[in-house]
Amino acid sequence: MATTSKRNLREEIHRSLEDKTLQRAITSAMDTLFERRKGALESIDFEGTRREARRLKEEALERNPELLEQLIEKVEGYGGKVFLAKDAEAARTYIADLAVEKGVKTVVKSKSMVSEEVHLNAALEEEGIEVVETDLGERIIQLAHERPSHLIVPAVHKTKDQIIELFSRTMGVENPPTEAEDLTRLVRDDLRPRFMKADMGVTGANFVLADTGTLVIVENEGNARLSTQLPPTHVAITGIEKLIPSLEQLGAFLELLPRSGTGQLLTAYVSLITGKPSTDVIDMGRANGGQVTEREFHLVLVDNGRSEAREDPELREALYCVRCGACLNACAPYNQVGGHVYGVDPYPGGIGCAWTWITKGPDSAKEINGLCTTCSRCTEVCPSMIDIPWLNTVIKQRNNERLGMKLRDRVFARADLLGDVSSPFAPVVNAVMKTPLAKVPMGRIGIDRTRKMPEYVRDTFEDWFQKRGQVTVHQPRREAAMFVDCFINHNKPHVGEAAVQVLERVGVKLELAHNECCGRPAMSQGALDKPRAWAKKNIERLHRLVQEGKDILFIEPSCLSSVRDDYRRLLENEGEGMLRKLDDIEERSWDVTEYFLHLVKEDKLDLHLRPLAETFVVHGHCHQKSLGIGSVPGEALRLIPEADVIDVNALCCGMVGSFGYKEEYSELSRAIGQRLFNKLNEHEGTVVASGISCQSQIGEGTERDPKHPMEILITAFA
Amino acid sequence: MSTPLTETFAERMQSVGGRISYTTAEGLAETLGGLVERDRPVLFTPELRDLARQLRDVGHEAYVGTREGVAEQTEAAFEGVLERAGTGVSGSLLGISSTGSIAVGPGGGNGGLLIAFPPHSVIILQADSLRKNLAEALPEIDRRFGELEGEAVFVSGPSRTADIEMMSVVGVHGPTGLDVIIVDGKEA
Repeated sequence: MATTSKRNLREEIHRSLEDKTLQRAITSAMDTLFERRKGALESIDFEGTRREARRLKEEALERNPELLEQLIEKVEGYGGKVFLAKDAEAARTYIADLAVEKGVKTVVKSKSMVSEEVHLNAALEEEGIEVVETDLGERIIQLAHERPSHLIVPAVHKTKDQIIELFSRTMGVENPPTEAEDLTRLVRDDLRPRFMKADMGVTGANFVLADTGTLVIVENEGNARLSTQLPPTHVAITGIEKLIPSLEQLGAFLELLPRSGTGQLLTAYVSLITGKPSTDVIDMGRANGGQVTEREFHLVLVDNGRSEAREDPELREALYCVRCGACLNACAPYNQVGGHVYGVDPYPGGIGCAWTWITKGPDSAKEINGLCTTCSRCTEVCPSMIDIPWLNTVIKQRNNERLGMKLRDRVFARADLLGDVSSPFAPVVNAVMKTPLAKVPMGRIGIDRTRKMPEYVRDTFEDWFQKRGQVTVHQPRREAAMFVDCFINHNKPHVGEAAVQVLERVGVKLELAHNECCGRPAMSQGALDKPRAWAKKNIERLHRLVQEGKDILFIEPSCLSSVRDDYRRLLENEGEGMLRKLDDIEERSWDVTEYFLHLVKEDKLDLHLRPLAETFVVHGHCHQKSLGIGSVPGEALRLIPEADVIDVNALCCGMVGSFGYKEEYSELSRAIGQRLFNKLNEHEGTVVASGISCQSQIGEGTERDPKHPMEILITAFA
Repeated sequence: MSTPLTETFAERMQSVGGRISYTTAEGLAETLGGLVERDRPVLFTPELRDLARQLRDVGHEAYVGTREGVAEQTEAAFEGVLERAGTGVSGSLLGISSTGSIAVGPGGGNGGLLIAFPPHSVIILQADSLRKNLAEALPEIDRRFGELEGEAVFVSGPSRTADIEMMSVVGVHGPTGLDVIIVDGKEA
């Protein structure tokens, strides 16, 4: 599939957003999957289990060459054939040649993303072989001549009405039934005879046990069972990264995969298959049935870029994917536009970008890369703890290196510099930014001209802090340093001021950290050199503060997430010493609201807050959620007597730093925001949002004036 | 035998559309007889040969579900019997309480087919083979993996899909109905 140009991607996004049927189908499915997953995870220790799964995946991938050798020996030992396909073409050619050689007329397939990756169906059909997808979703896609739009629910973009129309058009059924149950029955009845006459069954494998040569197939419909047992030849096609040493390692994955994917405790069937069925060939009327007397088993292990990725310290991360699709269900852009906008060949979403790079090369991954906003919602749900935002950041950086960085992205990368340059001339800069003098060049470099740019202040937060001189906190219970965020410093100093005042009221002696930019704005553009240098400086500075016994406080959750999550990756090669310092810093780093709440609880403070008989409608910041402190703003506000606090359960606000300002994504950004706006607008009252870019998106979309939790709390202290 | 294990198992299995019956070793044939269609063949995995005979004795068309097993009783081809079969009956290795699952072994090679091909599946579970969770069950399967020739299926309810607008539909390519008979289990 050809890569889409920028203009086309923008148009495709627009088309998807305009397609109300698509919107309805995706939204309801994603909500359902997200909720089911949450329910299913209640019965296990998700964090502990996924840490274990991650460790097992890392170990297995480390040992991959050795496991491959062991597996091949095992499979050949029991009479199976193994083919190691170096690329997609080798894989599809091997299977097509095999089918031709065996005189195969019909192939039944159960769901396999790797077979989609290597375009197996087309290769078989070219040989005149009938290929029958038997997974209901895959069958729908096959009949519609489309590509799957989700890793586990391939036809998630289709509504029932569209499926009814499709069946009536393609299955020769005049009046197809209208209930999902009857539509399913229709497909069952249509496919049963095909199962019985099929000469070859093709399946994937979710895991392969190297020590016994066993396939593990996780499914619900029973089609994988029939595909492996009925036809005399079974071909399993899977990626080389699916190998694990033995059954011993399977438990953690079985706990996580169905729960994360479909929200089931276990799927209807989890099959362990070792070799060919030991029974006689069952002949239910195959065209060449009389001739076939012996069963065969072929295992096609696809490399197609995986070995190279394994050697790549950064992309290696993607190989831990178990294809559960939970990241897609959590992804705000995916939720809004569905999978096809990603070009799906065949992997959509943020993880799909990395997989497209690995399996199709850098050019194919270029455009979809920008669709990851790096909001980190996916990292909260990934059972293998894959840092999908980081994968996309690295890919962005590599594309910048290959193709050069856009001027616009260079501008966005230097939020620190923009602030330093603009603040002294704030009134002039703010006035100019609203005129065509600024809007025209903004448009020309790819910034959405209809967006309101953040306004600068002449007196920064740092100025305010220094000007007020020494402030005495009586009997300070803690000492802390405030990490100064570029936007709070230059655009919203009153938020910083409120935070300082609140914390001083609860006995925190504060100073400024005098830090460099956290690096987030630059990292989001795939510029990593500057952030790396800043990170090193920040670590030295913050570590000194920590050694002096001070906690480090962050007002903007995105800055905290940079330090906690991204610095480790940024500085991976900087030696143990640096990482140990980072450990020390992490231990004492807090989101301001989290810190406030912690002190109140830990020190059992009696705050004597003034009652505020108001409603506060709270939007959770994505990075707050990914840091596991999503409930903190609501909890802190509930300390205020008579306050009515409503936590709005929505996805991302859609702004995510500069994402919403970019012309190709601004429509998508607003559409993501609209879902949040609708939920916020269900309630009167003050909107509360901890992120500065969340605030500007909500402000624009709702014409309300969102506040940081600290701004509310300080009024309750008065 | 632990009652809470059985209760949790039954609850989880029922929540995904499986039906539960309780019986004793002596009452097994009678319980099974009440669950299967009278006018369609019932196929058994080889270790349930005696049970097949008992059903035959009361008038059912019951076979051991292998080519030889069918040939012992009738001239009809195995494939034909399989195609007409209303129920596949299988024994099991163990049950998993926390997920409501049953592990089924190779069943003479065709076990995996007998639980998936006929429209109705019956799996017999010894109550004392119930394990708490996957962590307890997997090592046991692992120990017996050689004897099982590396074949096992974890079954959690009848076949199902949610591929059309996420609406749960029971009965796709596998059975529409799954009955689990818990032997010597105490009724929950």
